[in-house]
Amino acid sequence: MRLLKISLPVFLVFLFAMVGLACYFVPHKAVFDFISEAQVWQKIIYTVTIFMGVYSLLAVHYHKIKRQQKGWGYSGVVFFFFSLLTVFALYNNGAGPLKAQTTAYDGVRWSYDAFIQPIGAMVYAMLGFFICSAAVRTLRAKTLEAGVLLAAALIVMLGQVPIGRMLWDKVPVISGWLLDVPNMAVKRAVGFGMCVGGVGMSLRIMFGIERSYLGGD
Amino acid sequence: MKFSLDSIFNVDRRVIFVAVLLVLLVPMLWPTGMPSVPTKNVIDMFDRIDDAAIHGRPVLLSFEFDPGGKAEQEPMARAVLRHLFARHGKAVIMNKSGGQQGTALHYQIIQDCAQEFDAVEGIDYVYLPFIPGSTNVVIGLGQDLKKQYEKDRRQIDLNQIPLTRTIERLQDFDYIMIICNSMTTVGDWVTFGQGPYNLTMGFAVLGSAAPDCYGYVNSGQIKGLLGGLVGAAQYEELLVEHGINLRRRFSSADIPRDKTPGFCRELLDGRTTPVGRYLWGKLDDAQRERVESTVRWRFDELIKDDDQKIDDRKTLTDALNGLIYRGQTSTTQPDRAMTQPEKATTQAAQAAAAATQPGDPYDLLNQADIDRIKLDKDAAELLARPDIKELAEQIRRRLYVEHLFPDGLAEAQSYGMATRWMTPQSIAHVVLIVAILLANATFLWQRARKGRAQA
Repeated sequence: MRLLKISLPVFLVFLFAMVGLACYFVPHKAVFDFISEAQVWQKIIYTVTIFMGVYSLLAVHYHKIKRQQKGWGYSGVVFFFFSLLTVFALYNNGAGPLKAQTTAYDGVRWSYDAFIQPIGAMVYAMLGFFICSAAVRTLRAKTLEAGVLLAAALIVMLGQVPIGRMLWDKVPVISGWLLDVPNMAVKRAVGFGMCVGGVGMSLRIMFGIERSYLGGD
Repeated sequence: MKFSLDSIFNVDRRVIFVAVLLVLLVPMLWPTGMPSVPTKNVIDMFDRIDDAAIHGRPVLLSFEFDPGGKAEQEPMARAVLRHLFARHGKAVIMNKSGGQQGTALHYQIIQDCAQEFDAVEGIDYVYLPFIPGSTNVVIGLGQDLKKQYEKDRRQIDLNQIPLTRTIERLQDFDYIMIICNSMTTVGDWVTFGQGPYNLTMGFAVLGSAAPDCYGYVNSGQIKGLLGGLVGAAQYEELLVEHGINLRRRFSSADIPRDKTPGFCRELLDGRTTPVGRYLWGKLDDAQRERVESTVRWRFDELIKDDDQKIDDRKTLTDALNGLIYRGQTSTTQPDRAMTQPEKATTQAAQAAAAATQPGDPYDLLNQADIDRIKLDKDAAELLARPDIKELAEQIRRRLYVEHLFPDGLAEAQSYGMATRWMTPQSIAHVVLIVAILLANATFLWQRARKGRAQA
């Protein structure tokens, strides 16, 4: 049992980690062939995960409706649009489900234009309102350091839009300096720290020291 | 209602929401452009793409965004595509991390821009749809592009497509531009693409991700960076500065869809005018029949994407360019490999131009009419320079053709998509800064009052 639950997964992780390293450092045809093959596996896994994702989504919403949990009506909307899109896709502009998906403007494309695109854009656009609200609430000069941060934030904000240059032509220059020098110094420090930490964690996983991903028992 | 300094300075969240909504709505209803000054990173990207396009070297555009990032990244994609298509550059466009949802959006953008410039799929651009696997795709593309993508969106083998026939791997691209919304994607391309293969690449990222890219820019791993909508606006500014909108070939697609029936009717009714005669003479009997039938029916038919309709549009485009360039169908890229029908059309146009003398009833344009067009004083002085005589002549002839179809270039001469958004974005930034300052003033004032009360 230990073999299946611990030893074999740890060995597989080590093996594929070494292959991953080889892909990057060993310029040999066999390695490249393996990458191409792995690409096919990845596509298969991706396709399987789509089915799993759909199953999981429908199961969650089915149980919500069954138990009439708060907001279960929204789950009904999920089922409605899932069914609608499935019908459109299977109908395939009259060609049927066994033919390749049509490139003509069909129901799938219509639902994409009418729902998916505007909803996706709207979710992102709403972030703008929340960011504005958050900026007003959190950017407070409570200490000297916070005051410096506030000043830097205001200059960078102003430097990002043409009106900054109209107000004072040095605003974009100062904004650029803030991004190029202090911002980059901090980003590099954080980046180095993260990378060193990442290498350490990767080694721990590769050699089976860190096994939390296997789950507890 | 009791007013106090607190109530004025304590800006409610809902007030901020309404203020943001208003500053966004007003310029949306009455759009105005606010020009931006391009930064070094944007200029760097523009120059590299320009160089590749002029020399006919392929550029890889990786569109890695979905509708969520549309607001910021669609203008970037459009600006770069317009640049490449206007220069008759070669673009291979792929979707690595944009997901299935991104594919339809990408293709819609590509089709719009291709129609503007009569770019043809397979010759001027190829779209490679989404495949899963982020890191491995980059590694694989570095080894063999055709193992990663065997076919394009239309399910045509890449070895059969003229544009991709000679492209084997990432190193064959002159420049690689990635439009993405995640720093993970930037990391993947830099680590597994730029590093091992020493590629020249640039990124167009969301405004929030741009500061994270500066490290790569300063180390020289990234050459060219568009940060957010302002980056796209700066790129559009460079397009205008370089006169790409003005220098591009006159295209039948310049004429907006709702004007096309009018244009077609003008073409038919105008058979008594020099331009009408010339254009009509360029069409063969079958094409004339189609134009007449579309006038009777719907001109939208000419915009449909079947091959015959594309040929018709190209014939009209070549004829219009023949008017402007006197038979030279392309001034921007003389070494561009032409297809057989294009060669035939070009030769016919050149023969017609060579046989035509000023004053000939079949030519083309009457010099007196061209001279009657009023030019701005600065423009007139510039065009009078002897060293640009030939170019000045082309510009005048082009102006005349545009003058005949006044609505034809309305879209091309208006502000770019991102530039239009610079006004609301600027106002929103100023409103936000004022709100932050007010909130801080309240905070400091309250703290001072509390301190005084304690003392």
